[in-house]
Amino acid sequence: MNEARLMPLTDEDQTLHAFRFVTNPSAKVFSYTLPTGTVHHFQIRPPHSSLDIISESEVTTHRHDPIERLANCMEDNGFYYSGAIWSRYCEYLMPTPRVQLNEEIDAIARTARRAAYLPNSTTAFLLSLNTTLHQMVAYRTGVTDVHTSALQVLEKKEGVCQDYAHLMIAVCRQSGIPSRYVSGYLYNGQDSDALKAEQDGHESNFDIPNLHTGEERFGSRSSSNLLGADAMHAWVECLLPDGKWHGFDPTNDLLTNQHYIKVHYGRDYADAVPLRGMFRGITSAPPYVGVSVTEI
Amino acid sequence: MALFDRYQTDGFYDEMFQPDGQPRPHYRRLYQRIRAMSGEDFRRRCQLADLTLVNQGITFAVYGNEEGVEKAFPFDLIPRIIPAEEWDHIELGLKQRLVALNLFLYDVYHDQKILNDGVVPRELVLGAANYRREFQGADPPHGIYVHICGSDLIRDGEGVLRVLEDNLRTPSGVSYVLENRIILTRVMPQLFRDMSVKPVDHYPVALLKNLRALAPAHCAGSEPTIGLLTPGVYNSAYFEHSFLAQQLGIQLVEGRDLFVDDNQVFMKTTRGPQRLDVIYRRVDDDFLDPMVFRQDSVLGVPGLINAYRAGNVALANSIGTGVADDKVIYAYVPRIIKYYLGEEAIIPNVDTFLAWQPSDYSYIMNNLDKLVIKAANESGGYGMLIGPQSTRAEQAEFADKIRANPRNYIAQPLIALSRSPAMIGDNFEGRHVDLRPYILYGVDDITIIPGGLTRVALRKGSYVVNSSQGGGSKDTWVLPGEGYAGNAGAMQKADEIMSALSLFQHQRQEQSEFGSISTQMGVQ
Repeated sequence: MNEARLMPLTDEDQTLHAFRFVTNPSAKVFSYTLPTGTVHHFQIRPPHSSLDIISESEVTTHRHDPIERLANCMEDNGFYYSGAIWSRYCEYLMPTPRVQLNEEIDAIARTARRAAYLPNSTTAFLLSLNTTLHQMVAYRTGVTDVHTSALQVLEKKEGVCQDYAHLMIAVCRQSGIPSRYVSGYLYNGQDSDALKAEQDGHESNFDIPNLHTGEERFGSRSSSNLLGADAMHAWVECLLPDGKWHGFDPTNDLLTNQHYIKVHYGRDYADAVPLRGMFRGITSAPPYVGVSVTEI
Repeated sequence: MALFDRYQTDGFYDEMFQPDGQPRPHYRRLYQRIRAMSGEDFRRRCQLADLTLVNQGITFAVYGNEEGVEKAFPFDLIPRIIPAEEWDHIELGLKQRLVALNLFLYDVYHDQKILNDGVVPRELVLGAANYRREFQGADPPHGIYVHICGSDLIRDGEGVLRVLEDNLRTPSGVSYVLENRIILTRVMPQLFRDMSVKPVDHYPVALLKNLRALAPAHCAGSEPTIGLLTPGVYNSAYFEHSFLAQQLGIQLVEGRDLFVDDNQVFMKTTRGPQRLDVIYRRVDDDFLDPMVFRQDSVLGVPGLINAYRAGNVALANSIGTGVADDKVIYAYVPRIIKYYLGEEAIIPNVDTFLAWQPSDYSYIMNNLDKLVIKAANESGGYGMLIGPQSTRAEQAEFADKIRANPRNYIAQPLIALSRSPAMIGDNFEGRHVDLRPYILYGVDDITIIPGGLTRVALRKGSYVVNSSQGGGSKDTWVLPGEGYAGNAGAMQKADEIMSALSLFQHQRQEQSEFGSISTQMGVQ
């Protein structure tokens, strides 16, 4: 039995044209839509020795130049002091088991604030924070898992995209900036002007076994130039003084642009788990995950 | 000396007696009948009732008690009487409250207007332990979230009835209401003589009717298959689960008896899988579906929530109702009623201080020895501090807990709960009581069985009525209004015959059952 959060969203930055979700052995797939994205779920009762899940989507992204967008919100104008922010966005300001708020987190905020090129500008602070985290945490797979919290990442100073994201979210929330976790795909093409991207062949495969319940993680591995591009990627969205959500990718020290395809968002990883499920049998090989995004 | 001669009200509001020691008008007839009995006769009937409880296995389980898991639920024979006019008031108030709470739940899981309007702070709802984000936007059948509700009412020192808490998840206790009535009519039939006590035995029929009405579309007029989902024999309310399943004539199932295939729920039977259409679940959200909630749970059914979301099976109660019986949200219920219905609450709340509010926080911390402190999401009398009856060490422990998590604590003044006479040893003594009526929210109407469960704190001076904390129960009578007069003479005669007969049969049955127990013990 599995639940997948793999279908890209349609919003003002991207449009989903086609989506295909198939499994082998085949199963009847059901889906429902939440405010934060779409969930597909299916179940295979007969015994099987392997499971392939293939999801393909065709998406057009039309995100404007992220730098230009930020230009509109360099001034805070008291935005974050309004009580309305807390009451409207408290979900994205409260701690979670993976995103704890404390003094250590606050220390990172102070470092990033000192390094920001404009004082008293939240946007400048976030740009600085994006860079700070990118430099502070080393990208390394296998040292963290899906349960790793922001504080643990801070201790280890290494991790993968969701660890960068959780840490950035913690610093933002500690500083009163609403922030949310985004999972999605990243196009790792050569042509940075490409406006169209296609993701295909997202596969996972796990062998069956002893009553095992758990989340199947899609780890990220480094690729030629962008980190996290050949697996499910994760980044952060922060609410800026223009009242809109803006994407920051601390793993790559980038602002999200037209190469980022948004799939699901939430308070932290737990709300946007790409694939979780349970099976009965003996645990063996970890799932294999592959993501490829091509321009069409 | 006649019964009640030494009875003292000790300055508390007494359900049965006025401050001058005279019985209240609606208790007068009962008072006379009990006074007509000898102490010996009364005690003998108490023993009969106790024996019936044991023989019928009317028990509940106490967690963390080494003496044994199953205990009989003590039953006190003096009924608690609610006059007709007061019951009308209670009924109206409870209906108003449940309608508003259902509207609140629908709103919280859909548009969140009440949060956007700032009537209830968003963080309290979204941060509530029992808020189910996973269920946002899902549509339960007919928009009903709470099908079965048990709200606890108390009477304060001034005689005002107040709502102490709402139980909107899996309220228990109704089986005792039904059993208490059966036992009392058997051991003291003469009390009921021309009293026209409103019956309670239609509860299973009303509940079954409501559950049937929830049948998903695929049933299309045919009889739905209904199951009561229990966590199993170790649950404190297992007796009730099996009792209700039997009374309703529905299947008693555990999670391991069910499976989901093709987004539909099936029951494993000796004749192969049988589709289940409606589930009266007595398993908490957390344990209902390991795919969605707690992954370590083995009590639930993987895939159940998705099947429910798709409308292939109905659940009563729905998912996420606990957000509305959170003790912090409780403080907002009068505002919730006003918001959705434009009315004042008919039954008032108990004044409540919220530790998350800075102004209340310091008041609570400075008055731990005077207030009752409650954790927001505990029930059954656990996680609670009764300030005036606590030690300094206990107060310090709670101060730490509140400091660590203010959101999770509320405080209320200690209400001098009303008392009612209870047989303690060989005498009647005043003991504190509350009242839990059971409210059934059906597709067409709301049904409340007259009365409910009166719980009584049998320990002297105790304010905690929960069965897990040494509480017992009473039969609860609602009397008809003024102007009701049956054919007294004829009914009295018929009653006398019936009561003599039933008491006789009862004694005989008890004796024979008792005999068989002795034999067994002899063999051991």
